[in-house]
Amino acid sequence: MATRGNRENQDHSASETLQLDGIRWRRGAEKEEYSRSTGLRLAPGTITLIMGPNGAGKSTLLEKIAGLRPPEGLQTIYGTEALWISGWTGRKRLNELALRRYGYACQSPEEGLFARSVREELDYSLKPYKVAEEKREELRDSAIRAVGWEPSGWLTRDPYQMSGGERRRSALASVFVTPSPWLLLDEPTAGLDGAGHETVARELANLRESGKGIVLVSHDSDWAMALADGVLLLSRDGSLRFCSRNELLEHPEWLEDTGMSIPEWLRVANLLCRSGVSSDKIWNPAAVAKAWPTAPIRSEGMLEKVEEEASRQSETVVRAEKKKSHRLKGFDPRSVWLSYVLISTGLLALADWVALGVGGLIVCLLLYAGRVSLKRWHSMILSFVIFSVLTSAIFAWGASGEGGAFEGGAFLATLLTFTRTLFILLLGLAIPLVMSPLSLRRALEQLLTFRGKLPKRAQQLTLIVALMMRFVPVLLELWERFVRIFLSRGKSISRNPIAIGRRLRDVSIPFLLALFRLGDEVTLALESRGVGLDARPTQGTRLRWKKRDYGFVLGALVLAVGLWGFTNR
Amino acid sequence: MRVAEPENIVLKDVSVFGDNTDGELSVRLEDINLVMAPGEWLSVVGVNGSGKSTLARLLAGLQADHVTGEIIRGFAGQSCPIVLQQPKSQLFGETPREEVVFALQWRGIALENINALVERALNRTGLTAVADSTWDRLSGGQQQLAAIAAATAGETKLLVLDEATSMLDDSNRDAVMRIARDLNRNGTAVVWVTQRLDELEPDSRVVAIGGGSVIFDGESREFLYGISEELVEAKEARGRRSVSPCLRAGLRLPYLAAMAMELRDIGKLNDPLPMTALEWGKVLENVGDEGK
Repeated sequence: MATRGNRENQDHSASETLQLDGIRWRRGAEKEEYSRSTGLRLAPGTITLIMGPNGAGKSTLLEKIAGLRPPEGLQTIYGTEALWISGWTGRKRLNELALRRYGYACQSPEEGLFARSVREELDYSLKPYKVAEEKREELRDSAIRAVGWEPSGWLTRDPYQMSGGERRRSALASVFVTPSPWLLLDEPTAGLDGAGHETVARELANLRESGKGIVLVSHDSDWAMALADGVLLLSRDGSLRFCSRNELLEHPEWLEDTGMSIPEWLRVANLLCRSGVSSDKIWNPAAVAKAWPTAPIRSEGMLEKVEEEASRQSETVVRAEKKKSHRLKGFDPRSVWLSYVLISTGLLALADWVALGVGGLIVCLLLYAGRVSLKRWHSMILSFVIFSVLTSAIFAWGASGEGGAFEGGAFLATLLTFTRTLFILLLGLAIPLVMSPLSLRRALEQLLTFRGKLPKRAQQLTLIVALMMRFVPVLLELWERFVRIFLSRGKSISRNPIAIGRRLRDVSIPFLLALFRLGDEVTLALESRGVGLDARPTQGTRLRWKKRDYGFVLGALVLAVGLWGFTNR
Repeated sequence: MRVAEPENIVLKDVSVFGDNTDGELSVRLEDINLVMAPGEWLSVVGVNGSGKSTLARLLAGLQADHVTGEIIRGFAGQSCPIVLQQPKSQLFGETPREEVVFALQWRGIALENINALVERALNRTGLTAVADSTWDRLSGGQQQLAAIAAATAGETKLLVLDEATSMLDDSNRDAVMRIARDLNRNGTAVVWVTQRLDELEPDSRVVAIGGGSVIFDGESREFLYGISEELVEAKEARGRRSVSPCLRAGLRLPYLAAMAMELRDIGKLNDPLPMTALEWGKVLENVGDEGK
C-alpha cells in the first residue's frame, strides 16, 4: 500500500519513456535495423508523428495507446506503468495510474467541451491529479498562454459563446493543462488558421523542451514533419515502420509503401536535400532560400510523375477486410418484418415463467442462427434490465396498499411483462443491424401502397422510419466517441453509481450538441437532394416475394403457434 | 467586376444573419458581391468561421434564415446539390447504387429512366465496380464520390462541395478532385470550398472569405503570392509579408509557397512564382540562370 501511495503522489509531469510492444513491424528489403522484433521505446522530449493513408487506423492506434480501445495485442507501458493490468478476476482492466500519464486530444476536441467557463474545463482536466491549488493556478495560466491567450479575461469566458477557432483553443488548453509526461494529439490543427498553427507548433516545441513526449497525428504533413523528431509509418495492412524525419526526407518512397502518395512539397524537399541542402535547413523555408543551390537540379521524373501517379492512385481498391453480407439480406424485407410480427405475437402470449424460459431460449437461438451480435446495444439492454427490476420492485411495494410489505407475486408478475417485452426488443434491435434501411423503406412503402398510390402521410412516415434506422449506428458511434473523450479526461474506470451518473451527465451534453449539428447537416443534405421540396419521389423497383420468403414466414408462423400452444399446454 | 449577363449567378450586397445563442442576430456574411458564370470553377477559401460555408450554402440555394440583398440565381436554378465534409451525414442508402437511386427518386425521375441514369452516374465517378458494396467496405474517398454521384445523377448545372476533401488523404483527395474537374469540363459549374491551399489550380479563380466579407477575388497565384507592384510598395511601407492575400485571409502558407516567397524576397526567384510540381521542376532545372 505504501508503494502505491508513493506511486500516486509522485511528480505527475516527470519525464518517462513510452513503450509499445506487440507491434507488427514492416519487413522490407531495407537495412537490418528496421526489421526489429522488439518493442518501440519513445523517448521523453521527442515528438513522434504518425502518418498513413485513410483507413490505416492512425486514430485507432492513438486511441489504443490511450487505452480508449481494446489493445488487440498492443502493450503500452508509460514509464513503469502498464496501461492494461489483470484485475483479481483475471480480466484485463485499465490502470488508472497509466491513464494519468497522458493528456489526449481527439479530432475536433472542442466538441467534447461541456462546462460553462474555460476555467471549469481546465479544472475538469486537472481533477484526476492531486495538485495543490497554487500549482493549479500556475498550470491553468500557462495552459491559457500556451494557446496564445492571456489568463485574465479568458478563464471566465464561456466556450459556447466562442467562435469555432476559439473553442478549439479552449479544448487544446484543457489538454495542455494536464500535468502528465505524455501528450497524444489527433489532428490538433485541422481547421485552425495560420496563426493557430504557429501557436500550436510553438507550444509543442516548448513542451518537448521541457521533457514531455508527444505523439501526433496530422495530415498537414509539411507543418507536422517540420516539428517531428520521429515518424511512425502505418500501412493499411496494419504493419508499422519507425524512422527519423530526415530518413523519411531521404526515402519519401516509404510513404508510398504505406499506400499514401508523396506530397509535392516532400518531392521538392527531397530533391533539394539530394542536391546538397543540409537536412537541418530543409525544414525552414527561409533557411532553404538562403542556402539555395547554385547548380541546376534534374528532377529525374520525380516531379513530372506526380500527375500520372495521382490518377493511378485514385483507382483505390475496395478495402482489404471484407465482411460477408448478412444472410438475412437475401430475404424480402417484408417477409422479415412479417416474421418479426408473428414471433413477437407468439412471445406476447407467454404467460408463465417456464414458457418464458422456452421463449428466451428461442430468442437466443434465433439471434445465434442469424449471427446477430447485440454487443453494441449492451448498455441499452442493461439499462432496460435495471429499469425493469427497479420498476417491478417499486410496483411490488406499492401493490400491497398498506405500505412496507413487499408483494413477491406482484413483483414477479410485473417482471414477467417486462421480460416478455425485453425478448421482443432484442429481436427488434437485431433488424436494423442486418437489414438495409432503404430496403425496409421500400418494403414499408409497398405495404402501404393502395391502388398504386402511396398517400403523402405514409410517404413521410416511411422516410422518417428509414432515416431513423439509417442513423442508429451513427448515433451509437457518436455516443461511443464522447464516452472515450470522457474516459481520456476523467481517467476514472470506477463503476459505482455516482461515477456512472457523472459519466451520463458529462457525456450527454456534448452528445446532444453533436446530435443537433448532425441533424442540421442531414437536413441540409436532404434538402439539397430535393427531399422535402414538395417533390413526389418515383417508386423504385418492386420487390419480388420469393420461395424462401414463404419458407421464412412459414417457419415464423410455426414458431409463433408453437409458443402459443406451449403457454396453453 | 464582370458584366452581369442574364444567366450568371449574381449576389448583390448580400448579407446573411444567423441566430446567436442569446437569440440575437449575428452577422455571418456582410455585403457580398459576387458573380459566377455558367461552367465556372470557383474555389472558396477561408479559415473556420469565416463564413465560407454560409456562402457555399447560399450559392447552392439552400435556405438561410435571414438574408438581405439581391440574389439572382441565374443558370443555377432553384436549389443545387451540395456535398458536405462528413460522408455519414449525407449518405442515406447503404451502397453507392442505393444512394444514387434514392437521389433520383426524390428528383421525381420516371422509373424507366432511372436505371440508365444510375449507371451513368456510377460510371462517371468510377464506382461501377463497387456499386453494391456497403459503406464499411469503401474508403472515405469512395464514400464522398458516392455522394457526388448522387448529387450529380440528374442534370445539374452547379455542384457545391463544402470541404468535401478535408477528411481525406492525398490519393483519395485526388480522386475526388479529378471527378469534380471532369464534371466541370463537361459544363457543370463547381464551387469548391477548401482550406487546403495545395488544392488550388494555377491561374484559376479564388474567392477568399474572412470575417464574413470577400477579401480577395482573383487568380490563385496572385492569392498566394500577391502582385509584384504591390510587393514593392509594401516593402517600403509595412514590411513584406502582409501582401500575400492568403496570409491576410488568416490561412497558413504551405511550405513550398513560403519558400517561393522567401526566394523572391532575396531575389533568387522572380514572378510568376511556381505553384505546381511541374513548375517547381522547371525552377530547379534552371537554378543558376534566374535573376540575371
